[in-house]
Amino acid sequence: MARRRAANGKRKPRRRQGRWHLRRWLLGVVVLGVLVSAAHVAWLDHRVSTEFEGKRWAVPARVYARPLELHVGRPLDAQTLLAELRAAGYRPVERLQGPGQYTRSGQRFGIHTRAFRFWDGREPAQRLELQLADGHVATLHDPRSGAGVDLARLDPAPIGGLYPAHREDRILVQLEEVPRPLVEALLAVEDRGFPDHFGISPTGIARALVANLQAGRIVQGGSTLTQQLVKNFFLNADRTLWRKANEAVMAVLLELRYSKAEILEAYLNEVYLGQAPSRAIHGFGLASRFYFGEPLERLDVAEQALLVGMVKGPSHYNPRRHPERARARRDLVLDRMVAVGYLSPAEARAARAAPLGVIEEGGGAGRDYPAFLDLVRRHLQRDYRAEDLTSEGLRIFTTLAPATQEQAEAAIIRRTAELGSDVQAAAVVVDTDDGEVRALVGGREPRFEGFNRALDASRPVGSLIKPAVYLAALERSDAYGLGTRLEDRPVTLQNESGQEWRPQNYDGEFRGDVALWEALAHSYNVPTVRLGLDVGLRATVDVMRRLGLRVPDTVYPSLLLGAVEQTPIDIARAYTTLASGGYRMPLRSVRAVTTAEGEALNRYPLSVERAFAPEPVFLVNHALRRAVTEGTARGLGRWLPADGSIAGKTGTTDDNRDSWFAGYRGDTLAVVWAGRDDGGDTGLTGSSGAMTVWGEMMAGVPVRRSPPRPPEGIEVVWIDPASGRRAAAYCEGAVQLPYVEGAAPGAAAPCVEESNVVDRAAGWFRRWLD
Amino acid sequence: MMRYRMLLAALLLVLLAGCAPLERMPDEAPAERPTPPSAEEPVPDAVAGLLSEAEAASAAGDQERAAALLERAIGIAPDEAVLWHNLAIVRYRQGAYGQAEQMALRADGLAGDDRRLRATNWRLIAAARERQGDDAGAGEAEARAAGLQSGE
Repeated sequence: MARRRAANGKRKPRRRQGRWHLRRWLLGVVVLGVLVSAAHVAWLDHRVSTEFEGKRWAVPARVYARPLELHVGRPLDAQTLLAELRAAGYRPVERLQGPGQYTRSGQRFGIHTRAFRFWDGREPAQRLELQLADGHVATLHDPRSGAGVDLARLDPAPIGGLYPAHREDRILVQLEEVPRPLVEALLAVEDRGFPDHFGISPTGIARALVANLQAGRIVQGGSTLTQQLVKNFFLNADRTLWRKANEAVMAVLLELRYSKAEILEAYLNEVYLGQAPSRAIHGFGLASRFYFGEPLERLDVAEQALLVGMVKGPSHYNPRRHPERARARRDLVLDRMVAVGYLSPAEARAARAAPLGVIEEGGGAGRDYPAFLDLVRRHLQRDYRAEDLTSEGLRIFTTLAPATQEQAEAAIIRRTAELGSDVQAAAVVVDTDDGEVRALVGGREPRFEGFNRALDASRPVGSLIKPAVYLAALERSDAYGLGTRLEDRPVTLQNESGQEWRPQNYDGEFRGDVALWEALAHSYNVPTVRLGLDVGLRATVDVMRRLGLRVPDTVYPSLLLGAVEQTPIDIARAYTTLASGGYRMPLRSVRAVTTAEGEALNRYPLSVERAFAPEPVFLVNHALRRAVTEGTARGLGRWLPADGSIAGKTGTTDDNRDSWFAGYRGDTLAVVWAGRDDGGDTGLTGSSGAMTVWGEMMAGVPVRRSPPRPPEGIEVVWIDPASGRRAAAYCEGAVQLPYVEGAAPGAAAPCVEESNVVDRAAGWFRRWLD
Repeated sequence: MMRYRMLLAALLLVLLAGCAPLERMPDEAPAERPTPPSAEEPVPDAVAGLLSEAEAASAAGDQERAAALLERAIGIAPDEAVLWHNLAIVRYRQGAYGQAEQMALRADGLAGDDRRLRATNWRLIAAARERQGDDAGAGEAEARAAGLQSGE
């Protein structure tokens, strides 16, 4: 390096003795000085590069929601579309001028999508015009050519990053994600010569000197961004000349070692932008959250300018405490942007008219979707090392549906507020066609990281287990059908040690006997226990396993009433198996992972496994639909039409400790749990607690509804409810029930045997006339 | 609708006939048969586009991309048996015989009274089962395919 050359050029003997000594002495001093300086510079170099590498190595994985697919016929309402657009950072405008904007007039939307690189190819930016009607996309076309568009997908909402644990409170951004206006404004205001200088800027210093002399005090710093970055690395307020000199040397060293882009990116993540009660706010990513409650890429030009303005003095220009000062500073930044030609005067005028847009402190402190990101992290841990996830800048494409997530969060926040201050809740929403997780809420404060109840709260499931018992029975179609009469009379069980168990129905009544479907739809305990014992615990456990539930090592008859613990996501997996007609699917939160450059690394393909024949599953679903139309889940009528499109099951555990609801409508399944973390009494049943969350949530989720299609081997027959035997349409009170083909009871009910031809004819007339 | 049916027929030809492991399959030439009218909902044009892209990808040997496109199509129209059927073919070509069988079973459940698709599908199940060493299951599937084809 430069110093070594200097050290070599200092060899000069001769001259008179006295002076020679002096010279030798001087030389010694110089050599020593040079050596010390060299050591000092080497030390500075070491410090600055360790510091820089330490900041730079971690480029967190970028996580994206699933993209919104648009096509004619897609279930979609205006509220949902708005939520999706908001999440993806689209801005409402009067007229479309560029990507990332939308217009709305009633049910008609104009959208200018952004170009985006997916794992399976590039999606160009395009203009779309779509008309919604009756909860669907009615038309979709290109407004310029007028041609219809078959299919378009929006660029996905960025939903966060995966950070190393010790930097969890920093929101790192990559240079290419930082909005261009922000970078332009920063350079215009803080360091115009940045692209060209070598770490320090003599002209900048000269300019500052002149300005300071003219003003008679220090008004300009003259520091380059590189110098400021160095200063931020070693935050220390003293402004000594020695410090300044060190800073300058380190700035030059930094420039020698790293590219401009690397330095700029480090600066954007490092710059000090304010103070929260418990931590300093470093970096534009976190500052954007702290001041606006939004990720950086969603800020408009005025907001970006405000942040850039604050670089000069975050407390002096604190927009919360000194809004006037902050506004003046922001406007100055906007002017500067006009001066360098980045902004048109008209754009600047519009930005100047905008309010500061700052939220109250603490309002945006939480993160988006921490529970879902937790699930993503756990899924990826099977294939990736933690370091790679947090440092390689991977791009992760997930299955989250932002609008559905928003609905789930809102329902949980609103309902838990009403259900009681100590009531917690969790929800899992799954697409039943492919097992993709659409939403996940881990607690009543969905924005705050903490105990993820959706994944980790293992709680007794109560009656949610019953479909497994009934499915085990209905798999034996020779012995059981939906119309089979089950005994509802007191029963006493005794275990090996002589302990007795007398199961009761929830209302304490006994009904003599009931139809199998009724016992499930009304969640009667006693007939369920009798049925389960009849079919055998072993068969029930086998069904549980095939549904995807966790099975305890030892089982007792109380298992039949749900004395077994599962987490909400376990339940979601099991009910997805039912909802899909008997296909067990791994619940997926990730579709694909690519490198930072977009090269595909992993795809997580759809996989299914047929765990049950479709017929018995159809029969269980029939009973679960009737639980909603006439059984324990009738109350859902408050939120959704009782049109037979919903199947669901309530679950309540002893002393009202746990309140569950699992149900599906169209292609969407949701499981909700509510209860207290300490397992205390909430006073809630499945229908008064979790089901109300479910109803409120699902009322706002447009679903793709196809009428339940009976599988091939199902026939519908008339059954006499009193005897459970085959009836005919003309029999008094006969009901229609689906059966596995050929398995409907052979013996006819009395009315069929007794009636003659005339009666039958009369029966038909009645049906024709009413 | 008609366009989609023809696309299906063409796709089956390309996907099945062009695939070495499936060459055991008889030359059924589905395009020769008149397509039976169907009461199904029309498939969104969106899916037709993805189908033909998947066809091209699969023909070019990029089964991974074909699978991704078909999965995307399934996300849009999950009740379309032909999508699951084609995904089964792609899985088969990837050597994932277990998943090929499962996808085909799912296609069968959705195919309704489309006997031609169901027959082809059961033949695919037979081939997948055989590859997994399940000869008995393969025989059963062959029998079902034959039954469907003879219009039994």
